Amino acid sequence: MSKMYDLFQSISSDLVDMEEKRKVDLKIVPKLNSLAKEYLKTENFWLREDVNVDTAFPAFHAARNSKIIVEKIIDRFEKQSKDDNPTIVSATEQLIPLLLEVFSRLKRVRETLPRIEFDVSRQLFEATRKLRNAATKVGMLPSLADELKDVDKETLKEEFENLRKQWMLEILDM
Amino acid sequence: MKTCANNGCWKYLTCKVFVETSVLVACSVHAVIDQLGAVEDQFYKISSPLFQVFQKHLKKRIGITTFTVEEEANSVLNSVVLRRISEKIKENPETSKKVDFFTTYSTILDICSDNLTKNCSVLLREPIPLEERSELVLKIAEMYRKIKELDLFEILKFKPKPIERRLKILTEKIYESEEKKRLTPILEFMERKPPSIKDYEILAEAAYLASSCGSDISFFMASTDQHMAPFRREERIITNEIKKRFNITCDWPDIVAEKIQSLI
Repeated sequence: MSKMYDLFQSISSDLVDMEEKRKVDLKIVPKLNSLAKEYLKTENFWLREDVNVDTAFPAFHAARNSKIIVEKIIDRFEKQSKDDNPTIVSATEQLIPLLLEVFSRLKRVRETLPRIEFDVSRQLFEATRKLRNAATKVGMLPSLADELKDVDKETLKEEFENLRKQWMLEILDM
Repeated sequence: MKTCANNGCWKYLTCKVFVETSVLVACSVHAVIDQLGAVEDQFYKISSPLFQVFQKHLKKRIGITTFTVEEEANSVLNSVVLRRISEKIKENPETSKKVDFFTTYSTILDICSDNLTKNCSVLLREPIPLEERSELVLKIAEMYRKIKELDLFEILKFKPKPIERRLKILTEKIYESEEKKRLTPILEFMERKPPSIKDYEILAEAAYLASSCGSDISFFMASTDQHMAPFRREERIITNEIKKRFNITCDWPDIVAEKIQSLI
């Protein structure tokens, strides 16, 4: 796991370098790819493990959101470098601490299994929301069309309808 | 008339609208999916005009809420998704092993949570002193206790009656049947689903904010929660009691949107 912290640290120091030189350097991209792969592994872990949904889903949700945000960062780096625009660097710098926070929360949940600490689900949802909101502010959230590209839209619409009914019953009966 | 500073420009304040959890959730559950059209609810349709008013008059800071409401709205979104996933896994335990299964729910939750964040961004989040909230919670508990104990006999006592005896008996019977018809559904609802502690807290927060605004500002509360808003959009027993005790005009969001148009 310390390998992962080394990766975060290396990404951070690359960003500091770029900030100082005021120039985007694509050597960061393979490191970000490794990070995205790590989140993908975490996603798969929570699908495979026989853990209660109340923990497995928020953990999956946190890992998936981290992964798509890192993928968006990669995409922007690859595109931004062409016109050498350094805003991408400061935007990424703002997200790295939040990505690290989600990562360390997920790591802790995984390490304490099969014991589940109190309130884990709420904490994971909250950390994910914080990350997503920060990504929105710096333009690092994939568009809805991008998010939906790997999802079966018919199933999504059908389940959205089912959830919509349950949400409305919930608020009527609150 | 109270005024407040707003980007160096002073605006007259005539009304405030406290947005409660049910409206925030209703207004956040919608999406437009390419080629498949819109997913939206009747409740979204009646809630969204209010947010359009807030957006249009953003500088006047009409819409307000609290941390408790925002947290509860998030919790409703999350908990319903978790419940739905559990139900689906019970139906077919193998589904949980498929990546698409969790991804679908994660995407839906993201869409609605993003909508919620966007909706909260047009509301002013007001701080609430806990001590004052606790005092108001007790007053609210007392109000609901009185409503649950509504006595038909007491209500009928205050109805006008003709002097002639036979007519009097007939009128009493008509009144009794009308009142029973009117009150039974709401009393049954209150029995089956009494207000939660969270309802008490949120109403207490609204009451605190209404009292701090003063009497020259019309204070509204937008809600679809039938412990507060007119029951089935018509019956105003609880709503009237809230108005009488806390000077809050509680109504459905579309009605509030209409009412405030003339005030802003």
